[in-house]
Amino acid sequence: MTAEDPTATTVTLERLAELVAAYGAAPERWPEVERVAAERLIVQSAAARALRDAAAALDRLLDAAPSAPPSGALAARVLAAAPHPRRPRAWRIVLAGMAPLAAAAAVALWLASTPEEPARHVATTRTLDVVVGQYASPTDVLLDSYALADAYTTVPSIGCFDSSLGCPRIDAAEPAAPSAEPFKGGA
Amino acid sequence: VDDSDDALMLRAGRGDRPACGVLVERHLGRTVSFAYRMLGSRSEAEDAAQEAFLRVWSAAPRWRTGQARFTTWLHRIVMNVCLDRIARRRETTGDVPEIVDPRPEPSHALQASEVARHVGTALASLPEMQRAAVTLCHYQGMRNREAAEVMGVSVEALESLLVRGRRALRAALAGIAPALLGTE
Repeated sequence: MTAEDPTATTVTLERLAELVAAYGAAPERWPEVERVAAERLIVQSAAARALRDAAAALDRLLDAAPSAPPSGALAARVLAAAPHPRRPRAWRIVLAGMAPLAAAAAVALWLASTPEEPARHVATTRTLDVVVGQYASPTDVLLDSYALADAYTTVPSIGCFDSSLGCPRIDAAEPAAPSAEPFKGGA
Repeated sequence: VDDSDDALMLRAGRGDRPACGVLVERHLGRTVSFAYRMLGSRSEAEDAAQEAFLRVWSAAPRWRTGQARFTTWLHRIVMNVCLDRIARRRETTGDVPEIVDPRPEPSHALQASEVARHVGTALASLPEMQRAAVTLCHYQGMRNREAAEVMGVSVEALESLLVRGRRALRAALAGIAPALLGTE
């Protein structure tokens, strides 16, 4: 059973007396959670009905109290003070017009005051270029034209006397190396 | 179009005059009625209602949905305005509420207008918090939780104020209309 369940709530005669003493006889003014049980008690108990009726008499008297409907003039006065639609003020319009100019000036100032790239950064970058250059294409050195020419002009100088084969002509006056004697074949 | 008090307040905050008109049409009567029962004077009640709505308009641009129930908030404003006025009145004039003479005039048949006047006087003679509790629950038709919220008290405290207030009213009116109260 929960206190918030109207069907599970019980109301004693003593509690009903408190309810009508506080809220009067009309069930719609009673706390919602106790209303069903209080109405049930009134149906069952004459003493409960007497309590309710005594409260109803006071309610009727209270209902006789004068009321004060508002005058039309009051409604007009209240409405006259109501907020007006917001309109942009003059200084806001001026500011809005100046905003693009201010933005352009800020960009120009920023560009003018931006320092050159720091030296350390440049050095690092250049060093990196060199390093990349050396290792990125190692075959460049092998394909160098100087090296190729050198290779073509290099001919065996031992055991080659035939100039038609590209062997260099060896001056006869020069003492030939012993191994330079042509092989005659056979014995 | 959402015409809840919440939505109307948001629109009022943007300067939507028709929304302000609906709020006035919907709530000014109850505002004046509450102030009248608290202050006992029609002209003062209208001044208090106008002051309360001025506070509503100034708060409207900052109104947030779901922050508070509009009627609860408005009644709280009205109650504070009325309590301020009662306190000022007491400071400046030393005014104390009139106590109803409980002695009925013999063989005098009370007219409805006289009953109304006596009830009004009896109500005005209650201490402010009891008067506020009775007014909120009986005349403004508020549930106990909402009335307690308006007054910034617990439901139990509200119930205690109601019991004492109604008991005092019964005592005050018993001399005026014993037949009506069944106390003859």
